[in-house]
Amino acid sequence: MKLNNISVKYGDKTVYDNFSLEIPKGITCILGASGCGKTTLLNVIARALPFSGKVDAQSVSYIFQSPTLIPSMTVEKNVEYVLKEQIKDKKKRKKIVFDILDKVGLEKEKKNFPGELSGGMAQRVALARAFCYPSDCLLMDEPFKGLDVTLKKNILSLFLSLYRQNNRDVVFVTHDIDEAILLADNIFVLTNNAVLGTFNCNIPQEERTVTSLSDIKEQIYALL
Amino acid sequence: MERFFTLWQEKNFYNSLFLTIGRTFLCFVLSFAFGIVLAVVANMSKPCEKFLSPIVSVLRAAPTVAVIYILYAFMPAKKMAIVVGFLIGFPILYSQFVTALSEVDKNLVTMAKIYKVPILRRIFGIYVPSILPTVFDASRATLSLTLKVVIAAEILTLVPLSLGGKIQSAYSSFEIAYLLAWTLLAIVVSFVLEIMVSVIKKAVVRWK
Repeated sequence: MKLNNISVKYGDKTVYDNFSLEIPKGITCILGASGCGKTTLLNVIARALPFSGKVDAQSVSYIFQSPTLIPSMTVEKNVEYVLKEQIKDKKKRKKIVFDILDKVGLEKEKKNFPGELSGGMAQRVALARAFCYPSDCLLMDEPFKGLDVTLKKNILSLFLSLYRQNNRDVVFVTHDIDEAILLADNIFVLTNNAVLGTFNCNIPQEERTVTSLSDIKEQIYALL
Repeated sequence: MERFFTLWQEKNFYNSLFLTIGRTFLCFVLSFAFGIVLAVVANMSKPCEKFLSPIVSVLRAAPTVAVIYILYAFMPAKKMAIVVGFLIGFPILYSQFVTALSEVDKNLVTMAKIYKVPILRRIFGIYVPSILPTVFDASRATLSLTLKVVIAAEILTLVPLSLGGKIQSAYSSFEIAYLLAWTLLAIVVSFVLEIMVSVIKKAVVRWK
């Protein structure tokens, strides 16, 4: 995926000015301090805000920091909501929804409203919705933020399992270095309008530990 | 209390009761329709919101009885009760709808945009359910208030076939028992209207 000459302004503040980046295939992490424009970059790729320049991503799915579920719709309807335009055949659509809910372990909760779910369940619905949407690229904006350690571990492993079954490019932003090195194939350390460094993690995700990649972690720390 | 339970035997009881309820509903429907349409316009356009804001503030601040007397000079009593009810109900509903629309979760709207959900499905899937609880709560309060204002207008302008007219004639002839019975009936009608809206809300807003 290529971003060419991207410029973004919020009022008088310029966030990006002729910024270009080539994002490789696989799982890519955009790492950086708060306010450096990580979420803005995701929103540019998703075309969710006005910008100038060129982005060659076609269709994307998106996981927000919060699950962003429609409170008035059941779990099943929330997932189906984004598919109606893409998959016109109702039977086929329902099957996709039931399959993905089964994969994330929420088939029993399909008739529940978001208000009846725990935080972890709601985030699993958001994962299900993003993975069943037929996109070329999945964007995630700090999707594991605010989850407790056990829940985070479960959601991370669920994410990797879904990723392997529904292979597509993933771009996610975080300011958690451990999260970045455990998940990403490539890490871009971002500062205002520039890439400070690029790192590649060749070890398969299931074999990775924070200590096995401690050298990358130290290099990232040195940059931030 | 005895008078209250025998009120239905009165001449023109049902005509008076249902004409007042009809006027109340008409006021409410007009207030609701104008309120929701103009709130959507205000939500979409800041200049429109700025234009409407002082008008709504003036309507909200205008003393009800003064409005009744001013309008009485220009139109027949029956129509006037409806216009007064509208002028009181509209600013309340409009303000509530504007607030509800401004509080729609922007992330949900962005999510729908990213997933290429068409605009109509965004309106009925996100905007309408988001404002529904406020719509029902505002409607419940405004319906009771509109009934009170319509009755007040009927009393002051001596509308013959109306709850207000009956209260006025009971007052004129110093029949306190009748006066209390008709007043109690107005309270009961208001209470029933509120319950009706609450029941519909409970059936529709199932996710709360």
